[in-house]
Amino acid sequence: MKEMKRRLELYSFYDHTGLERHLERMARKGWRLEKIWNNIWYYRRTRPRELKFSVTYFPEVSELDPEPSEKQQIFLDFCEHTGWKLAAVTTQMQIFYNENPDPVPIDTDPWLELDTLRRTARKSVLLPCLIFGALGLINTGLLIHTLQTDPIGLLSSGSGLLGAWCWLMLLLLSVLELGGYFRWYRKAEKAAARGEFLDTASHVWLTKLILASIILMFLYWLAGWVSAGPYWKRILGVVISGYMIGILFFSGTFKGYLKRKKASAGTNITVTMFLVFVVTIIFMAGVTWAGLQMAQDARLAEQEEKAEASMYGYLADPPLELSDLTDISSSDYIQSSTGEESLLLEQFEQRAVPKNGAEDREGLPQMDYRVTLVKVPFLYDICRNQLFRDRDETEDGEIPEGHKAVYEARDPEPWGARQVYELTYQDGSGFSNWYLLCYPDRIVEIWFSWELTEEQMRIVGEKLG
Amino acid sequence: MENGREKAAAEADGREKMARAKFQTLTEQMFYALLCLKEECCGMDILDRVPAMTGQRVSIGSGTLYTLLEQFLEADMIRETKVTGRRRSYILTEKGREMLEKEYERICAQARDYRLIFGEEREGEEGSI
Repeated sequence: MKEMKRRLELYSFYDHTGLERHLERMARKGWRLEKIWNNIWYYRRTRPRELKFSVTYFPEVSELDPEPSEKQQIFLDFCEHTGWKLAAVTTQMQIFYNENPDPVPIDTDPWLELDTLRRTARKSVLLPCLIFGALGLINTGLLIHTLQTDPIGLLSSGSGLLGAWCWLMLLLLSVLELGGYFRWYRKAEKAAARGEFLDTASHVWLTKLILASIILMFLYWLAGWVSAGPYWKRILGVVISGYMIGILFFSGTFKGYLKRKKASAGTNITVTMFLVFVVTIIFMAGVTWAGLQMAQDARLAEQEEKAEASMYGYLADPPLELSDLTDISSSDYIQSSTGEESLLLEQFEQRAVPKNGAEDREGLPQMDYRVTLVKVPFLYDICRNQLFRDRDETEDGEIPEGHKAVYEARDPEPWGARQVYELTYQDGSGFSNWYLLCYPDRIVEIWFSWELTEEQMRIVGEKLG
Repeated sequence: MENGREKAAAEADGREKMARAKFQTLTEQMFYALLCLKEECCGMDILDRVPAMTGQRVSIGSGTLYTLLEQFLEADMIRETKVTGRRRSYILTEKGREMLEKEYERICAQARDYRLIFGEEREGEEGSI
């Protein structure tokens, strides 16, 4: 039978009554809090019983103090004298339990309790919260700007989406913490003026939801990262993810080690930060070197492959090849593709360039295309508008009228599409053979070096539509 | 360095002003904690004596007492008399005594006012019987 349970408790720093209720519930289930280490809460199996818990704050101490200060020890002695035993300490929060069913509370004056909590918040919580909130706000602003200028670039990138989500959630968490604290504090002041204590309102379920969404997004990103792209890139993704988790564990463990060795709080934080910095530099240097080596090897292999074969990149099997439209062999071409995919969008680009050694290289037909696959219907118009704006110069005030490239509607029938546009030049240089094809769940931009027949348009529609 | 000292002095001054403002009137817990300190005693003695003195009507929490003793010391209402290991003993200062006296006067004034209003009524009620 498991004797120890580990949990990540996501209560707000000020939510002392929520935490007390939770710890009392755990004790009733037979789990008593034993220690807090590296943000993990350890519960020891005991017989189920009614215990009273009290969460108090001691702003004068640091989490890294090797042992309780004299003042703190006096405070602990007072608590012990009234039956309150120390269960665990984390930063400036001290958690006590009492076996007496009706003990004298540790705090019996609401003003003093409020004052202690306010000093604790000011010392170590509010500033980091404000900094994270400001960073979250700045990055959310940048995201909104990117959403307006390049929604496809942002929404089709798993990394971009993960980053956007993390900043957004960080902002939300900061608002929740700060907003929740100040709201509660204002009400608690009024209650204290009446000589009453005010229970805190827990929003732990919301914090859990936010954390779960970040973990899910991270796992999704990681799965996408390791399941596509070059081998070196996949390895890099796993190694960097491992490092990010590992460095948190490492710094926590090292801080604990120095604390056990009775290093002062200042020495502890300085040495730990220095070590984290050094480890990070070494790691980054190692990863950069290994990445460059692997990328170089991969590039050499690709070049060799290119001499022999005709295809490399994101798509193993492109949906449309020149050989589908002409009787020219694909082996005369180097086909390359790039792409990105997220939960919302996928975008890939396919190019076919004649090989250097190909016969009549200049005369060989060429074709490039980019497909934007919209997985969420409400994004369709946003994507189409962006792709339209990317090449259509109607709104561009810097280019004089008569010299602009504009999309003109064409008959969608031969392409089997809903709408088709062709880029044309107002200066009379004619059609560009650059098309924008709108299908129900995807938008295709495609360019040909020759004018297509209706039959070729039909094949394009069948293959890409 | 000079700035640091000035800042520390300003903070100490601020704390003292706050404490003075806080002790314009005493809460019940402050009153009894100071009352205990008429004789030299340590924090744990106060924790035991206050409920005994008040017939369990008033109790001071350990965290509250710890903060109160810190604030009383800062406001020179008590002084430390001896330190035995972690046990620190305190006694009331002249200033603390004055504060207690002032609070006592205030409570007495309240009692007089009460009697002035309800005492007459009671006397009237007793007379009619």
